[in-house]
Amino acid sequence: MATRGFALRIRAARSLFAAPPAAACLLGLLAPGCASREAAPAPPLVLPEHYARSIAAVGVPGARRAFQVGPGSRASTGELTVAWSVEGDSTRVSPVFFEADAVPVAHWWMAGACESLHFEAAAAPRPELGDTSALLSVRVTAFARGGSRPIALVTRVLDGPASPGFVPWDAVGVVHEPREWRQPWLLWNGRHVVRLPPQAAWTGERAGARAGTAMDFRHVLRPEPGRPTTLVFEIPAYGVSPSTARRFESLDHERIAGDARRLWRRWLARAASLHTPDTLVNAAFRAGLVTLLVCQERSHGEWVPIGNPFQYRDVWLRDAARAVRALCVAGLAGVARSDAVTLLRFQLPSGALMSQRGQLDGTGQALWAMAQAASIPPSRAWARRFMPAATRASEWIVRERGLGRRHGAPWPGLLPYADPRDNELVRAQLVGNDAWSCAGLSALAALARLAGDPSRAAGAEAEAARYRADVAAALARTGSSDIPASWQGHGRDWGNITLGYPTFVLGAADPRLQGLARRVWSGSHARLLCWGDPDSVHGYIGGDVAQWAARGAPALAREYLDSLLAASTSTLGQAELSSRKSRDFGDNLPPHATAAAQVVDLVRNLIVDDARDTLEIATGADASWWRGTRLSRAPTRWGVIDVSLDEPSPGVARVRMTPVAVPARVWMPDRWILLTSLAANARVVTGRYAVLAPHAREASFRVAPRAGEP
Amino acid sequence: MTPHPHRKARGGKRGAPAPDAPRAPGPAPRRRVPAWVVVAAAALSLAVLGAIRWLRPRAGAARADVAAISARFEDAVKRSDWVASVEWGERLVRSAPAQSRFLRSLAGARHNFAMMERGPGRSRPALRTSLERWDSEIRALREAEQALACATTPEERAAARFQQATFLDNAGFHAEALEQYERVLEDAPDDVTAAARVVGIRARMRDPAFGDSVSAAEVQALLAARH
Repeated sequence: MATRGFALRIRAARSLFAAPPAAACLLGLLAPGCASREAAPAPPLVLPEHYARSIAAVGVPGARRAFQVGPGSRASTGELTVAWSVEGDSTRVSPVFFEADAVPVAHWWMAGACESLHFEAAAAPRPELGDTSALLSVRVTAFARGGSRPIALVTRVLDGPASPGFVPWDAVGVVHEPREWRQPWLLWNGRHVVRLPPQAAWTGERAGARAGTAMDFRHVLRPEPGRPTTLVFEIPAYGVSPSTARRFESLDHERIAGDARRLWRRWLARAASLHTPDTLVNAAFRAGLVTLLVCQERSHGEWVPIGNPFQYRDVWLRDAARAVRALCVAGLAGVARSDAVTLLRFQLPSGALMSQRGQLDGTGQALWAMAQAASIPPSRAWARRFMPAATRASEWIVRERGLGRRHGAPWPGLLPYADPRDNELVRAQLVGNDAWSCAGLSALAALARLAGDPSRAAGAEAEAARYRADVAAALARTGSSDIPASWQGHGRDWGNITLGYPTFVLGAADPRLQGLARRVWSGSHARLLCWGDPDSVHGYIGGDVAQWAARGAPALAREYLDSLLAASTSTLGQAELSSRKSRDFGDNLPPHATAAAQVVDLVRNLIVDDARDTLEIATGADASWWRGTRLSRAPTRWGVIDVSLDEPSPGVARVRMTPVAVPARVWMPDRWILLTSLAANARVVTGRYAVLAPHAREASFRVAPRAGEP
Repeated sequence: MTPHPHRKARGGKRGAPAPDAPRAPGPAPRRRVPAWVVVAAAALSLAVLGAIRWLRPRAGAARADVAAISARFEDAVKRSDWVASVEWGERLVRSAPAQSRFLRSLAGARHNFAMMERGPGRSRPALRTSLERWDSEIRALREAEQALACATTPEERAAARFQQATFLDNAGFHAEALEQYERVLEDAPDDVTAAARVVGIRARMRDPAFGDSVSAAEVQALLAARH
């Protein structure tokens, strides 16, 4: 993976839209209220949009709605949409971009023959709105191009979502009363929903139009060359009362944008910090974190991990467990643990955990999430807190296995049949249910060990081993050379993909995993798997195959990551499903939280992997990453560590790290051969890896390219 | 009466102070309460207690109340108004907390509220997230368990178990549902519905592709075998 040509792309985007983003940012920099570095704008990160339409989620952690920016020049709460156009001119609209440090302040441009408009949209929480809403401020900066002709900007306010878009669960749905325009606010149902700039001129039929009518406002802007003009719009996520609206009138855009930047920079500063020579990977890691955080709500005093900022504002164990893992490895254990506590609300009196009927994998996933939350970094207190719920959940798994046997299920020792109505899309005994249940029992063992209960840990591990043996026997019985979706042999690939990672039911060298990878990749597009129809590219199910590949064929894992990023939004989000041919995602809007979690987890594991009993360093790092990679504040099962990789001189690779109490295995890139260790505390085991003694801080190795490699 | 959870969630959350909102000032200095206030408060408490005692309904009146609540509950169920059903069901249970039949009614209403009630615009679930829906379903399961514990006759026991089994079956815990349906037949050996479900789940346990219907002959065979 080469360092990406951002400069080239930025130049291309600038020439396309002929808008001076630097000038727009400079305006922001010089604006009052942006004095502090924490609140200062960063330049937009201009990346290609790989989907047919460009959409981004602008929001804040905790809020119950996010703002949809795009497609085109529009911002929407789902309940209403504000769209901008230029009267009498055809303009092109750029994709949406976030800022270079991943702060989700959106930027886009509209460019026509005579004008160029830069939009900056920032959402921030406000004390007046409580912790479930946010305020979006959109600043439009108009630049003159080749003259000083007036620009007639039309702002259209429509009820309902953008297209594509979604209607929020709690949308009023219908505008019951005539809409009113009490300058500067537009009112729907007595609530203030959009604040327009003071110069707005109502051009609709009349103020107080009936519901369903678009309301158009016209602004005439007269920028002079070198003297741009600005307008500011404010949109609360939920309509507000007159008194709240009055308080917003004293706010300016710079204040809201500054608050947004400060908030996000503080969140990101708490997380692990990644720097590799591949700037796109660094950006994807941070973008993944932003998506995971924007997909957090608050309930019962805890964080709640949701599936997507738009249409999937709901909680599913399968997605939430991945979010917990990703937040843990990214250093946001506080949120991850709170998410895991939230998941306990799914526990039934029987001990099972379920978030969607028919999906029996939820219990194993919840157990796995609890173990991740308590282990990365390790916390005895958290392990003890989770133990009662985890014990009940594990007892349910053991009981359920017994029921299958008792009632003559054809695959004894495995979970009974289930009908998930999604995913595998078949009523059968699902291999993924057993994989996650095995992982659940191992998770109980890990929790018990951490909680200081070795006998319970041994019991759970023994039960997990028996279960794995039953799964192995069942796999042998299938006669298949890989891993079917169900024991009956039907269904779409889904839970069966997890046997290599993250459930580790099979060892990485198991030929069935190779067979599975061969089969699923044979019908895939650049290692991105399809779900059902060969045209349906899936945004995250291929991640587990890539994670498995990282432990033996890391080039394939990096190839997957490359393909995923080459199929992402211009803000590095991924849709759950999209058409390979048309690149359209329909109403299934990006970004999806599980895809974000997969990116964060995969990138972290390529550098630091703590799944086994040695710490693995640089498992999947490309040779170019050894030119200077640093992962800081990275939690592992052995504590929070810093790791850096570099080449202090030609032919010498050096690793520096925070000492840990276990041996560390340092992997060389697949294009190199490891010759000798230059440190007494490290010994070369094969041409691929060396082992560092426990508590080692640094080691250097002499390396050479493999035959035939540059 | 427990408020409608949906209303509670919406009303309670919006407008709550943000975590970073400025804190309220510390407690005010303690003041001495005048003696006459204490005496007046005590007298008022005694008066309220006396009024409650005087107003307490007699047994006949209570029966009439239960009948009225029951009628309102049935009416709400007929209208598939699960919000009202839960409210009247809760009143029924408050009127007779150990009455298995009432607990079953409430559990059923709550299950339907969680899974079937429509919310804003009527096209979406009444409860916004699966956390809220499963919270309601878990309460329904607990009430069904209580109904079983309070059952005093074989018929009540069978009905309570049947309800538990149905909830488990709907959730996708078919093997656990099967166990419960089998136990229903212990108390109600002629329960054709329970027998049909036992036949169906047993068949699907052996072959998940087995259809959703069973033949009368298979059900008859099971019932005959139990006799």
